[in-house]
Amino acid sequence: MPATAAIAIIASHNNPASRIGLPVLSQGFLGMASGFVPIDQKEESPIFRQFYEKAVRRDPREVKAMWARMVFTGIARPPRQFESDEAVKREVVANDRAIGYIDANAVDNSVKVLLIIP
Amino acid sequence: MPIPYPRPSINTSSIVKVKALVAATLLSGIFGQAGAINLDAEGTLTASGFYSLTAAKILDGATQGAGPSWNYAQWRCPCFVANWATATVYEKDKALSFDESVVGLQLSKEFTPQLSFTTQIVTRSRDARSAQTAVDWAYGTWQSTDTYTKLRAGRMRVPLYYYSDYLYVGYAYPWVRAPAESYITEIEDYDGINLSHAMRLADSDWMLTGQIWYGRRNDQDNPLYSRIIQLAPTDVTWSRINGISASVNNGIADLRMVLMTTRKSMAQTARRHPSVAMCQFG
Repeated sequence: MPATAAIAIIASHNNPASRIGLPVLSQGFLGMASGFVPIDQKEESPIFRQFYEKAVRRDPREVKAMWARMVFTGIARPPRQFESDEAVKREVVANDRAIGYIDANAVDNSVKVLLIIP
Repeated sequence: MPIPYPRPSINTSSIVKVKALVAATLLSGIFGQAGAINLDAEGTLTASGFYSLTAAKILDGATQGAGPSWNYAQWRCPCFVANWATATVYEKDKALSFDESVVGLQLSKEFTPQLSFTTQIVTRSRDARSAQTAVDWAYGTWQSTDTYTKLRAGRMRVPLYYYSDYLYVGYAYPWVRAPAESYITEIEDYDGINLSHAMRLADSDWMLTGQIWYGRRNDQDNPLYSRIIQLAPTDVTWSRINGISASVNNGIADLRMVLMTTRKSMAQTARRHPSVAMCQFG
C-alpha cells in the first residue's frame, strides 16, 4: 500500500458500535480494558507501523513495552496478528466484539467502518 | 509519554556509604509476545519471555567518614543494596557486576476464551537463596466474555506500587530499575485471589479499573532478613494481605490509588542446620 493510504477501522455489522474515537481505540490496542477485542496485522507489515503511529501515536517499541507490562502481569493477552487485510476482515466478521484495521481501499460490504484515519 | 530506550543512570543514593554507582541495562527484550511461539497446533499453549542484561559498578564511596573498608555480613563495604528482596548488593572493591540480570519465561494455556492458566519462571543472575530460579506467578484466570471482569487465583506478584508487579520486566519501563528506596519490600508475591473489574466512566474516554486481592505468603529463608538484617535464616510471613486499588486512564494519563494492609511475622529457624537434618534421619 502507498504510504499515504487511509486506514479504516472496521467491525462486524453485528457490533453495536457505530463509531469509535482514537482514545478508546488506543486503549484497546495497548491492552487496557476497552470492551473490544483488538485484531492486529503482522508486526512486519507497513500498515502495522502506520496504524500505531497515526492512530495510537506511539512507535512500535513503545507499543511492545506497554504490552510487555500487560502480558507479564496477566492483565491482557496480546492481540492475534493476521497476515492480510482479507484475513482481518474474516476475523472481524466472525467475532462480533473484534475491531481491526485495514487499508481503506480494502473495505467492502462484509464489514462496518467505525472510523477512517486519513 | 514516550518511553525511551533503557539508558545508563547515575544513582547518588541516600545511603551514605556509596557516592556514585553506575548501572546500565545493556540489553533488554521480550520474545514470543504476540503468540509467536505456539507450543500446540491450536495455539492455546504459548510461550513468551523477557530478559535484561544489566551491568553495574560502584565508582566512588567511603565508609562512614573516611575509614577503611569494612565487612558487613558477607559483604565488603562501601556497598550498595540494589535489590532488597533478593539481597543483591554491590561492593566497591568488586569489578563490574551483572547481578541484576534476569531471564523470565512465561507459559500460558488457554482452555476456553474464559479460562486459562499462566506460570512465569524468573531466573535472576544473583539471588541470595540457593535457588536462583523462582516461580513468580502461577495462577488460573477466569474472565468474563466482555473481559471487563477477571478473577485470578494462585501465586501472583503483589501489585503494591505502580511497577511492583512487573519490576523484573525491564523492557516494560525506561529505567535500569525502579528506585529501591520506594520499592523496598521483603516479600514480592502472594498466594491468594485477585478480582478486577473495569468500567467506562459515563460515555467518556476514561476507564476506571478496580482491583481487590487477598492472600498470604510464607517466605522461608527470606533474603532481606536472613542476609542483611537478622544475619540468620529467617522465615517471613505476610498473612491477611488485603489490598484494594483503583486506577483511571484515558489512553494518555494514568492515575492509580492503592491501599493495602498485612500482618507480618518472623521466625528464625534452624531447619537448614546440618545437625537438624541428621537428627531427622537418626
